[in-house]
Amino acid sequence: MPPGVHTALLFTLTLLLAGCYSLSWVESQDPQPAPAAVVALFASTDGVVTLELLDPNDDYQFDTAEKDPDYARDPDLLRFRRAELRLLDKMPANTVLVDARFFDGVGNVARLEKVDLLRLVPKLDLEGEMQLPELFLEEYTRYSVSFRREHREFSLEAADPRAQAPFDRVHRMVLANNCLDPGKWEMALQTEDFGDFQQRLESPLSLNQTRVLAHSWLQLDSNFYFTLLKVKNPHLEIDPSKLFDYDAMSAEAEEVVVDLDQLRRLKREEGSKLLEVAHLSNAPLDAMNREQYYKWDFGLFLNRDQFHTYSDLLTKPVKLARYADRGFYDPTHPKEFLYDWVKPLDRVTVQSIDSKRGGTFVEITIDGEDSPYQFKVGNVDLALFNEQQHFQVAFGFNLYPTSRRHTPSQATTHFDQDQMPDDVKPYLVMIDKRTGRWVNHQKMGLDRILIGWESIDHDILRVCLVSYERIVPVFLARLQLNDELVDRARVRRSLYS
Amino acid sequence: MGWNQPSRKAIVRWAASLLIAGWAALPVIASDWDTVLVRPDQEFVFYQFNLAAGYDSAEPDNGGLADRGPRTQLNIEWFAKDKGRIQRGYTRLAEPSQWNLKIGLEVNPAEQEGEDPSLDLRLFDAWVRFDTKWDRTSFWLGHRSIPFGHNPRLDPGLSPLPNQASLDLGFGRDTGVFFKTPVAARLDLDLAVTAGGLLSGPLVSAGDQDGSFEVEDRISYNDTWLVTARLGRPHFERVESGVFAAVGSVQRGQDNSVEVSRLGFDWVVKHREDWHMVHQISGGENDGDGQGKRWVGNLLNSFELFLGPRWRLGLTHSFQMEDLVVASGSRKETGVVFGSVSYALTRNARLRLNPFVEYRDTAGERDTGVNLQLCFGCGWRK
Repeated sequence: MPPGVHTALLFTLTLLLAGCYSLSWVESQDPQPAPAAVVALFASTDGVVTLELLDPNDDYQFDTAEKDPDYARDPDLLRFRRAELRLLDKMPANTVLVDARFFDGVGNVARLEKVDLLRLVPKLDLEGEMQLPELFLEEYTRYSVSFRREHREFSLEAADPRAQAPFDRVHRMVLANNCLDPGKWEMALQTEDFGDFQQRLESPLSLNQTRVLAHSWLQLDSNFYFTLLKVKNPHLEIDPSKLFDYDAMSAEAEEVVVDLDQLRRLKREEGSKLLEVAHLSNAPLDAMNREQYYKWDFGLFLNRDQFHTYSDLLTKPVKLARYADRGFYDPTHPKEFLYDWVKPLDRVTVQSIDSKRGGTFVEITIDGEDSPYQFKVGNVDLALFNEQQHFQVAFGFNLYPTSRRHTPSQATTHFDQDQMPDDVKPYLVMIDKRTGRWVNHQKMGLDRILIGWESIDHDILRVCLVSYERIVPVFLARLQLNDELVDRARVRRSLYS
Repeated sequence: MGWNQPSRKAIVRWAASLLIAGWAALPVIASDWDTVLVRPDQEFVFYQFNLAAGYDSAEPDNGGLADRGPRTQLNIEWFAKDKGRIQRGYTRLAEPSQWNLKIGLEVNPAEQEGEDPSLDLRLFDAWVRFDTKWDRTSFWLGHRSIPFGHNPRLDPGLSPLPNQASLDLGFGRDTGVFFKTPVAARLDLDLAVTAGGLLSGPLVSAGDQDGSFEVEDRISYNDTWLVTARLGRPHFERVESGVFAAVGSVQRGQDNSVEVSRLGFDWVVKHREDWHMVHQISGGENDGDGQGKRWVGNLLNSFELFLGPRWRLGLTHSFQMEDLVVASGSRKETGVVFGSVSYALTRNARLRLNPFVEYRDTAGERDTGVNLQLCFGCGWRK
């Protein structure tokens, strides 16, 4: 045997036994006590904050997901209506860790150990008056944290044997900060059903195996919520109670002139070719992802039958189920949006960002000569896109991603919000071209943008603006990028993956 | 092509060979990545045709078809992303996520005057990648590049710039099990346990032998094996450094083998996508091939430059020393500088001018030359 082989094998074995490395969000070599303000909150309730949860799923027909067979089958079983939060003594800096337990009506418990509540609280990255639209957008956008079973990030205790079988199917637990009012959160358990997965694989549609087993809504006390907000954002310059008056805060924020120089420095316009704009080419109106598919299926796109193409969207009001109260869809009181303002949007341009990280960070502008509005999505890395999935950016500043893991993955060329470097914080904003001021996209019936490559060639981008509650795509364009940008994206993947 | 109506058939087109190693089909976090509803293509077939010829002072008639670097060849590649994994959205423990098969028919130029070239069937890639539930932890089964130093490419697709493995061990791809994982916040481990070059040479050769066309099976197993590993900074960092090692018994020619052990160090510096620089140094021993135990040392320096949309420049210097006394009475040393000036004719085609200069060769005459390479399918895909 060649010399050194024993040493090499021993070396390798040692490394393997040391284990694979994973980032730990909730462990620290230097744990500290919770922030004093949070300790005071829990001290006032003898160390345990108790929350009542709402579970209207006997009557609520518009939880837009496929249902587990045990969903709302029993009035008390797997109906989570109470939660307890217990503050931990020590935690990593810049976290607020609690032990959270959710109880159903018969004593079954869904438990989250070491949950960082700050992961579900808005994070402000800007200064000055830009904090107004930023906080507004963070608070009135839905985002969530998921907990993975395969990494033991949650546990389920079946006090009632009837819960065991459904608990065995659960693979995700989700906490969400919904987009309605400060402190409105949700909790859900998701299961897997592979019974027809093979048929689904053979179908042209990508519908997966996930079902919802339980879904509850909760309201945090405003003092509790705002304490967390201030702990996470010590540089907060705004009175958070403004968030209680949506219209007033929106009006005040719409006075702010958008200053994107806090987030990026533009380099140059990159040549590109706009191949198609859907409302100009009369492209058919089809659901682009599962969420839209299910929402249409559940009837949240109320007058769907009147719209067959993107150009149809410009001609009459689109009726979408209202999202209201604790966070329920109400088709009986729909919201109506007239998307005629989309008509003059006929130009999509790309500018590169001056970044030391790479030449693949860009700002994409959707505009039109006759359009009063423009949309800018920026600090997005072309090298991260692929043709199998859409990259979603919600309106806001460093609001990506809106679906987070309890333990984010290690920062590589892709970053969770809490790890995002200062120089590449993504943003999406709607601007009044005449004044340069921020425009509340929600009033215009928008929610976010989807971006992705059209094919494995990775040279044509599809850019899509999505409606209120992510129900309908309302603007779609195909943009061919120049050769240099396309190849830079390939090279970046080659060098940094 | 409609907005949501992708082609349902595998698409046949000219394209570059894929840089698959380490490139995930999916991002690290499948969070705000929302699967396209109408399933896009998940299987792809690519063709690649490379024509390479030029001047080479060591070849009969001082030139002809290239015998150094990528040869004239026709390749076909099949690549697939696992439909179930994409649809499921996560990996529960470990499961296949990608498959790749690339084979080629390569022209082997004649070594002697009056001979005809032969055709070699070669295997370039044949692997299945398994992702796991742990971030950035994957393993592969099959035939792919070994982690003998890290030397990424700006201008891939049959690049004429060599890697340390091919220069030192004689091959850069091998058959076996490959594993990659982070072992610390800023430390990744790449490990391969492979067959020592079993399928790295031609699988089958066909040519005119003594007036008749013959097909010869070239696979021959000589109890070879190889363990290669690299421990270093992750690839997503701008500056990487690492330690790599190899031990084993590797194929030398069809019927011989040599025992090798190597320990090396590499240092990679990248500036955005604009340029990158690689330095590798390794040393060790060879033995077991009847020439006695001797020390071996290798140095490789490489630089590549991204010049706008169409031009790429590359330079690689290689110096190898083997403590063998050659015919001249001195120690065996070879120093070569390889260059590449690459121009993208189209998205899918490259024209390259590949000079090389052997500035030191104690075992024979110094060799110089320049090859012109025209590659269809060596483009910007992947």
